[in-house]
Formats: sequence, C-alpha cells, structure tokens
Amino acid sequence: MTPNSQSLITNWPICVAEAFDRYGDDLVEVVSTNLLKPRAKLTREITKEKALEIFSNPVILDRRILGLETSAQMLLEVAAKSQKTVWFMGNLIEIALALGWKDGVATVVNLLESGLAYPVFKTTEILNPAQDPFEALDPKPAQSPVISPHRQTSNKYQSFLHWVASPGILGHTIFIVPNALQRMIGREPGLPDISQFPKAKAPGLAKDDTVPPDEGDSNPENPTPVPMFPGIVTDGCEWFIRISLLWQKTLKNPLRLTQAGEYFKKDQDRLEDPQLVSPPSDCPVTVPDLGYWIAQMAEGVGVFERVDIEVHARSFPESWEKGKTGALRALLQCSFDPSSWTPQDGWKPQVQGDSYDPFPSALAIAWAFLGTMKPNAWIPSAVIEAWILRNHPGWSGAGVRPSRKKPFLETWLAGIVWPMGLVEMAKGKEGQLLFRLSELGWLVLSGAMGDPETRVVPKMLLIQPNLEIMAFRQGLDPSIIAKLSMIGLWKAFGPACVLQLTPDSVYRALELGESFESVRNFLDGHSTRPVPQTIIDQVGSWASKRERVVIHSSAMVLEFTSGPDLEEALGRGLMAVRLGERHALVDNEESVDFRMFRLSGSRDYRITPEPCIRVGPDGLELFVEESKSDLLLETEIPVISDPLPGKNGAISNRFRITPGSMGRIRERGWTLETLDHWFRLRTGEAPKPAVKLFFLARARKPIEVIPSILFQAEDEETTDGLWLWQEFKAVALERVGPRTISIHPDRVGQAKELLQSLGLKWTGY
Amino acid sequence: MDPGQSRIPVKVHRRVCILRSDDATIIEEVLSRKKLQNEIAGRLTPSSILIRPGRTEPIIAELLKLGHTPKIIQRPPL
Repeated sequence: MTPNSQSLITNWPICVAEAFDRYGDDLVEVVSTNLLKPRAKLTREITKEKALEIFSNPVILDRRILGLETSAQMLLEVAAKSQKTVWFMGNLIEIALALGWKDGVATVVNLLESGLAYPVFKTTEILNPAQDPFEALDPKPAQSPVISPHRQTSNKYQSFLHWVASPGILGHTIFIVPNALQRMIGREPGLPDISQFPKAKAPGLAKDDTVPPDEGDSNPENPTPVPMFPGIVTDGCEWFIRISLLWQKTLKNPLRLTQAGEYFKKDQDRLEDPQLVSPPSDCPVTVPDLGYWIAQMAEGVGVFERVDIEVHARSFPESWEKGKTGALRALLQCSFDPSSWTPQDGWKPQVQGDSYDPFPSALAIAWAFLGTMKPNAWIPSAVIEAWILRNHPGWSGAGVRPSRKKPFLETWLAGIVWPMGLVEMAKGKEGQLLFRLSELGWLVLSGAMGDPETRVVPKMLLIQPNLEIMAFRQGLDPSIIAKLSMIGLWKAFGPACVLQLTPDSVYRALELGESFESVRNFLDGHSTRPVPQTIIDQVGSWASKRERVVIHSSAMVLEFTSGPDLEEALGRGLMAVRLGERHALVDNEESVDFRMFRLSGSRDYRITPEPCIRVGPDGLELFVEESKSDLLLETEIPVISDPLPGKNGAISNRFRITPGSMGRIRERGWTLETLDHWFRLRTGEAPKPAVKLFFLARARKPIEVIPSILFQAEDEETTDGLWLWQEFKAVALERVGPRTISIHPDRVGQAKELLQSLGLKWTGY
Repeated sequence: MDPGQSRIPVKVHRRVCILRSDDATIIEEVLSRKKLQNEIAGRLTPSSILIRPGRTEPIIAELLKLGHTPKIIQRPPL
C-alpha cells in the first residue's frame, strides 16, 4: 500500500511546498515556466504561493492540461478515472508504456515538469500525523503548509531524472494534484472504446505509420455482446461488512507478520476463517486468499494500521460516515496500489528486491476502459484482458511465464469489484460474463461525493428478544455497518445479516465512545418494530454495570483546604465530580476557570516528584511541606508513619515513624529497597539507622543478653597491663572501653584474687 | 469571575490516575487484591482509589477478571 496515502491526499498542499523546497533553482524555474508562465523570474516562495493559487483556477488548469503532451494527458485520464492521487512511479510508467508510448519515463517527467504532479518527499508531519490510537487520521487544514525543519538541510534535485536516479530510501512516489484530476472528468476520452473496437491499437501506436493496423481497428461495426438476462448489481456493502467482521476479530489481538512478510500461523487461521472468506452470494468466481485481500483493503482504507510487524485495528474511517460513494472509491483504490495480493496468485508476500507488481497499472487501465464505454454497452472481461496482455509491458513480448498469463481480470471484476456494487454483471449468450459500470460505478468514476438517489430505507433492523439483531441489507451503508459492528457481533451475513448483542459487545461500544442513550437511540431509530423492553433493560443493565467503576487515566484533581471552599467553587460553576470532602475531579482541564482560584501548589504526576519531607534529627520525625506534597504522599504517609497531633488537637503536618508503622508497611510487602527508594524520593536522603532498625528488627538475629561486672582502672595504662596479662584475660569477657574490662559474675572471685596477687586494691562490688 | 469575589485557595494535581466507584464494596474488593498492591497507591477518599501513574492497565485487566466492566476515561494529551 502507498504509505499514508490518505494522509498524503489530505496534505497535498504540504507536498507541493515540500517538493518546491527540494527542487534545485533550475528545476523550480522549469516548473514555474510551465505552470505559471511568469513574465519575470519568480522566487521559490512566490512560485509556491502562485502554484497553490493556480490549482484553484479551473480555467488555467484546463489550459495547462491542454498544453501537456498527449501521452501525459492520457496518463492523467487513467489516473482521473481511477480517482487515484498517489501513485508509485513504476505504475505510471507502465500505464504510459501500455498505452503505446515508448518512453514511459519521459511521459512521467513531462507530467512532473508541468507542475501538475510532484514527487512525494515525505515530511515528518505526513509520516507521523498526530493521532490518538483510536482516532481517525487527523485531517490537517488543506491550505496551511507546514514547513518541516529537516527540509533546510536536504539535497536539492537539479532535474527529475536526478530524482529518478536517487529518490532516497522511500522510493518513487508521485502525487497528482487532485484539482487537475478533477478537471479531467468529463473530457473527451483519449482511450479507445474497446467494447466497440476490441483490437484497437494502443493510442501511442495509433498514429505510428510503421505499425500495421490491427484487424479489429478497422471494424467499427463490431457488434457489442448482448446479455441473456438483465444485469445484476450488488448493494456494495459486502466488503464493509467483511472488513468490520475482521475488525472485530482483530480489535483485541492485532495481526502479526513475520520478518518475511508472512502472517503468523494463528493469524492465517483468522484470515482463513470460513465466515470471513465464504464467497458472496451469487458470486460466480472464487477469489484466492480472500481473507488476506480483506486485510489489505482494511489497511488501505485506514481501518487497520501497520505498526512495525503488527497490524492493529483502528476506528472506522471518516469516509465511512460520508456515504457509500466515497467509501467505495477508497476501497477501489486499494486495487491500484502495489500489494502482496493479486487476483491471479492470491496472497504472495513480496520479497525485497523481487517485488515487481504489474497488477495496479493493469487494473487501473481495465477500470479506465470500463469508464470509456457507452453507459449501456457490455463487455466481456476477456476482451479487456486480451488488450492488456497484448500491450502491457508486464505481459507483452516474449519470455513471459505461462503462469503469468493465467486469467485474472474476471476474478477481479466479478470477485472484487462486483461485490462493491461498482459494476453490473450479466451472462452473455456463450456463457461468458459481461460487465459494465453500474450507476454507483459511474458516480465513483466521476469523483462525485453524493450517493445515488435510491429509496431511503431508514428502518432496517429487527431486534429480537433473544438479543439478535436482524439487519436488512437494503438500508445498510458504511456508517450503519460501522455502528452495528461496534454494538453487536456479526453472526451471519446474507440478504439479511444477523448480529448478536452480548455484554462484551455492548461494553466495547461504550469503550469506543458510545453511551447507553446513543445505542438505544440508534436501535430505536433504525428498528422496524419497537425495540423489546427486555432488550433495552438488558443493555441498560450492562451499561450501568460499567458505570459502577470508572477509571480516570489522566484526570485533574483539585484539592481544597476545606469542604466549604469546595462548596464555594462548585457554587461558582466549577464542573467537577466531588471525590470527598475536599477533593474534586475534573476530566477536561480546559473547562476550568482558573481565575477563581489561588494556586497553593501544582503537581504533574507524570513527572518525578521533588522531595517534600524534612526529617528530624533522630531520623524518625517527618515534617511534610504542604506546597510540595501530593496525593500519593497523602495516601503513603499515614501508612509509613503515625500522625502527631497539632496544637489544640488540630491536624498537623508532623508524623513519626514507629515500630508499629514499620510493621504496617512490612505487611504491605515493602522491602528495604522500597523503603530506601521512598525515603530518597520523598526526603532526598537515605533512611536513618533507627528507621532501618524498626523495619528490620524482626529479621535481625536475637540480641544476646550477657550479665557482666565491669572492672574500671584508674588509667588506660593499668587496663592495658591487665588485658595483656594472660591469666587475667582468661577470666575476662571483653574490653569494653579504654579503662574498662567486663568480667562474668561467676569469675569475679578469680579476678579479685589475681588483683590481690598484684597488690591492687578495688572498691565497689 | 465577579471582581468582588475572593480567590479560593486550591492545590492542583494534574494527570492523576483515579479509580472511582460509589459502591464501597468494589473499592474494598480492589484494595484487598494483593496482586494490585504495586499498582495502587492507596485510598484517597471513601469512593476513590489513587492509582500509581501509568499503572491503569493491570487494574483494568484485574477488574475485567473480577467481572467488572470499568468505564475508562482518557484525556487527550495537551
């Protein structure tokens, strides 16, 4: 898929500005001359501004299109019929070659030099559009180009061939100015109508006298096939439903890809789930690896997003809210992007360096041919396919493997495009499938945003007491399918679809922003009969159960000094949820009028706290600094210490660590490391030994209680003498000080005898 | 604000993770889960529990395991 193509389309003015910044002076002049036709040389900045102005001027745009070489005009025609803005350059070259122009690169360069198409130099803003995980792509204002800082240092290209030679690591991606594509709609087609002239030469060869004319080219009376029965057309909802089904299966567990680009086994099982890949009703062909294609489409339209090797389900795209036509256009365009799935081989992960994929250009040409036919004409897919095999560089010429020549167009038209409702299908006299664009197909091709005028069926649901929702397809559209997918689980889809309401599905809807009221209103508004009261009660019960526990992951809490202050703030219009006597919770900070407050402190909980406790000299008394403290401390401090009463019994900010408080935190699973970390975080220093003693006392070895009598000499020298005297040392326990030796009470008699033998006297005991 | 009104002193705590329930038994149930001791800072008020910053996921998982369906309110980053 083209990387972030939806974002590129939204941000195309940024791409224009980016491109001009990356062009060298000579290249700016070439584009400026072709696009603006200035009388004097323009600066780079003025060229940028004037180019954006010209794109909103249809008259000048028409003149510039007419000024293009025929080959570039026809390239634009195919792109316009495909309604595709972002292309890989290789696919554009292939289209030019298939249309008979020998130098496809020159055709693309002509388009680039005209200023109607630009290389994509992806800016940071485009590659990483700001988005919430569950938010749709953030559409940036189309007219406000943002300058990327890295642009200033990038190398400048002196010509488009220079860019072709060194496109950078992101390859050759080109976007065509959407306004120019729009101006191509309704112009006299340059492509031949091959329903009338099946063997028409490629337009680029048609005027070449050296090429002999084809047989069919001179047979304008070639009869167009007539179907045996009226054509059948689908409602176009099939892929929206299947994508939604896969979305439900992927919401909690993303799909994962190996380094080789293959899905993991358990994910392959999900993509091959029979419910997902069952053929659409009346579909006459088997689409290979359908589940993989559905995953590719989901990624292409933005329902899935690839993050590294994982494919995550996101919210349904905004285009699904805007009607079927726009949403189908986005689905169709997925076929014109290189991918690992082809209608010929199915899923075939591309290997780096061997990723040639001619199908996007071939399918774009096939679609453009359908759009060139008269509205009531039919064509067998084989005719278009034969033209492509004759002219497209991916198939024409010698050396093409026979496996490459397997039919693929019927699979694509009948298996992929027909379920989109974009083509009508019928059987010809010889049993072959015939195709032509449906009304919806013509609308998609014309670039219109509105849906065809059909009978509006606002009520299409039947909610049954067994919690099943029957959804009749006549009234479905992408937005209703998206809503149903959030509320219920898809059980079956045929002419009538069945979804099941479950606690999990209702919970999921609530998680995605729905409420009980919105779910009820949706069911009431679209139900053919009144919704059974039991269903409403059941959904209400599930919803209220959810309301019983609320987790605020990033709220603002206002802490007041007293209850009356909180009452006063609520009285002045503070929109907050009361948490307790002094605390109020606010989810939306912007709704708070801070002018009514005097801030006594502010703390951001995602930032490491600064020390807010002073420690007393004994290491046990703690003084909390109110202005720096936080709620975490408020819950921790009563556990880690005991509060000390303030004056007259008031609450104070003084606490004391006691053996009891240390016992409490031990029971809560604190370790010495936790305690040490807490002290350093909150006080800025390590816990004092007394704290450690209280905490570890139980873990220490028992203290030995030893009875002893102390012998204290007059001076240190006398004690030294006694301690060095072996006989005396033998009866002594320990020298406990410079002048003191301890003796066990039982040996005091022996010690006295030894002192007596020296003539030393003693006093006391 | 009326110019005559005095300003109310307040301390602001930003980006706080809070679990809130009017049902005291749920609060007790969550507080008693040993598994969540590292995630829960403590009981802030009778109806609310303070969660350590960025530790809501294990709490949500455990609540789901207990059969609850918590409503999660996330605020977009500023």
